[in-house]
Amino acid sequence: MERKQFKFVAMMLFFPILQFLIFYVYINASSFVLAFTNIEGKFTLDNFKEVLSELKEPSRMNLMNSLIRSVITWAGNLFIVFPVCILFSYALYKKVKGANIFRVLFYMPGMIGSVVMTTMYRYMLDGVLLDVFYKWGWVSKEIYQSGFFYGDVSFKSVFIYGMWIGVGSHLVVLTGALTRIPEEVLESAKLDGVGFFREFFQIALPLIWPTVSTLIIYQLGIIFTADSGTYLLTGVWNDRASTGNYYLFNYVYEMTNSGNMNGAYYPATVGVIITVLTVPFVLIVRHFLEKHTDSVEY
Amino acid sequence: MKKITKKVIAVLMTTVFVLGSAVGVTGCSKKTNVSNEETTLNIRAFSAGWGVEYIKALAASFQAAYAKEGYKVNIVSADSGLSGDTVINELLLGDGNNIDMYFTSDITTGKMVFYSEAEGLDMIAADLSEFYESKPIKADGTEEDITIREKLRDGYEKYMTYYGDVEKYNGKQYCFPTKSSPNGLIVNKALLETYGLEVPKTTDELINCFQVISAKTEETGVYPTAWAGYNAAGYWQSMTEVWVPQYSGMEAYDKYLTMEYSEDPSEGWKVYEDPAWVENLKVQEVLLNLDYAPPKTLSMDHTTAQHLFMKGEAVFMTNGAWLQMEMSANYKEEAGNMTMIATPVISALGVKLGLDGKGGADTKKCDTVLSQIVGLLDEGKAAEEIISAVAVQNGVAVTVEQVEAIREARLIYTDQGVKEVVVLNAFSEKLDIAKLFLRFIASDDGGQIMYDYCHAYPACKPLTQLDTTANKSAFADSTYAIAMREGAQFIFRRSDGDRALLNFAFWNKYPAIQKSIAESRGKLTAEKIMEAEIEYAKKTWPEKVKALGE
Repeated sequence: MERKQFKFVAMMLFFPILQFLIFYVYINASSFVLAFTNIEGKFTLDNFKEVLSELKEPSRMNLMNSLIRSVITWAGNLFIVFPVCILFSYALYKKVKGANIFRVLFYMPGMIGSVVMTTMYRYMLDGVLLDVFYKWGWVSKEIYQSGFFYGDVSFKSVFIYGMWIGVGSHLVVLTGALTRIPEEVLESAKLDGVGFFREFFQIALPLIWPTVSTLIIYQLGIIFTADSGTYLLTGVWNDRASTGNYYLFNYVYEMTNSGNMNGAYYPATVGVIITVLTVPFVLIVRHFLEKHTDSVEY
Repeated sequence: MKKITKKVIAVLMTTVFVLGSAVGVTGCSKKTNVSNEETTLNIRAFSAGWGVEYIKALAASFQAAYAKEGYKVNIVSADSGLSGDTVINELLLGDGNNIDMYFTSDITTGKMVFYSEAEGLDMIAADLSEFYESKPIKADGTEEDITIREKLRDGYEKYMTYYGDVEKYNGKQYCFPTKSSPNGLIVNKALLETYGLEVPKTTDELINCFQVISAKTEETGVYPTAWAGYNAAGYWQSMTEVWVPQYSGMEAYDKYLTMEYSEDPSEGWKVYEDPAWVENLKVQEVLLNLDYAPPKTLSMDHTTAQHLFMKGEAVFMTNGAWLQMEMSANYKEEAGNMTMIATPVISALGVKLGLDGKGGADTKKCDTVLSQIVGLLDEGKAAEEIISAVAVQNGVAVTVEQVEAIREARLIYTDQGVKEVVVLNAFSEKLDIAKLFLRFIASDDGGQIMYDYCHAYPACKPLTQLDTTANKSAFADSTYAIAMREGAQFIFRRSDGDRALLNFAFWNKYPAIQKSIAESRGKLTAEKIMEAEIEYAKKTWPEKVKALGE
């Protein structure tokens, strides 16, 4: 490599690597150490015992339910949002009527900050919609008094938000993959009289499958921490909407808010356990996907 | 040609990347307008309900007073993200931090010492102990007659002082408070009067107000109260906690804060056994009835709740002295009409004291007598006068001890003023100028600016009457009247002692207690809550103490 090229590459990589070292390597190493440390800085396994005890018999916010809700959120994203996202990407790629407008609309949530989006959603749902629903007798007095973001209904409200906002999430990657499909293949299919959906399921989808499987593997990593803006939508301490991510955030938030300076051991341990549970799952599914997926070249 | 194009693109990309990174890095620091002049103080300010206009006005007056010396104040940034933790992180940069002074919130001397020690640094905030012995300096450059320590409001100093294990910092001051900031129950008096109701003096009277207002809600659209479950249910907590020391005394409340029940750390959990907590929660059980608040309360945010209160759709609201300042942009007149009232005395105290003359069997009578005594205390009557008045009106013989217990209870309120403080960077080379600025803030001239610009009274008691003609604020006056009552004592929900060391939350089984009570619609009773809290504390306390190594 020439000296100039080397300098250029080094410069381009310096910040990402530095960021990776600080915010990934250091943070994770530090969390790992904390999980095995007690308040006196000595080695202990008590933190793990505490987490197991919380899983069995929650003393405060329910960890097990939080993890289950993350899995539900993750499943919703993978099995509902993701297929819809692929279909929409294909529709945009095929330039259906109004494709350009839809493209902007789908990208919009990604461009607008999540605080703005969640605020809009909250005001929409708890605003006129709730008034109308109550007037029409669609919701109970209890929900009318509590609003859509508190109590048992709150997780449903958060889940729907996640579904709605998630549709545009993979559009860029998927439309990018679709545009790589050779025109000739689709033209030949058209000449053979292949329709929109057959072309999608039997030609386009198999051709972009490597991208799809990569995105699936990518999503597997968040199975126990998937979250759709629970904090922004429901505020602090919502035991009925909490997810794995929210659980950890809430714990640390509350800890710092109460002026405590010593309590990061427990959330660090939860993080380590989530990692231990997630890694084999990701590896197994990856192995399965790789084994049962034909490589595509064009 | 192709090669040249590639090179041009590469150069362009690199330039954009480097510039982008540089802008990003400098943008993150929010310190782009830091002044390097030796006579200019660089300040970062926390901007919330109080705004920052008062700091700008203080700075302008200070600059005018020291024009000859050329001292200037540069407000580098003002935002709501400058919490105590952020300030500590910046102070830990040591001499790499070019901010000289912080106006911040939620910072404690204990926390600053803890992190200084953890990082192996000397104390990161400047020692202000000598400054407390100096005298405030007025706008004309003359000193006032008493020291800042003497001028500071009663009870504030202990929150500015370090009391802990690191001996060299013990007893020293590292923060300086700027404002008096009571919080509690605010009432729209004019609206309350339309119901023929008076300002409640006891919790039973408060409950009665809620019931009367609520009975007409369908017709009037007005609710007894507005509060925000989404992000500000805690306002109830700070108000209702007054009922605990009202019932059991300040010492009992202090034990609850620190979890230091006795000399024996293993007994810490027993603080929850104080009956004051059940009595407190019994009142909350009633007040937090969702029929008493507008629809969607549990999902409502604080700004919306304030908006409903200002619009006259609710009669009472738990809030702070900053309400007028915070809402003045849209509700200037309405905010001025609101009044903060002294926290109604918990009616259970009347029963505990047996004010009916029958050991508390007649609770209604107890409350009638309690209300009468509170009213007479508010009028400034002496114990003897009160005793004879009660005997005449209610036919009950109360004692001096009973009257004094009620007096003590009536004078307790909550104050957040000790939370909003100024901290100086110990590594700053401009500490002398910074302290001069603080001495100006502590003066009556500084206090006048505080009143004019944020409708608040200063933390240093004015030596002369503030001029309230130009910017009269009945609301600010009502908050200050509560704080300045003879013998008034405030509570502030700090976290220290064993509670902080053990990460023991205030409410463990029901952390969002107000929301839990409201949502249960009467199912979650005071007794059930306390049973659960006591059980949790009793069960987990030994392990926690063991982990602490005690």
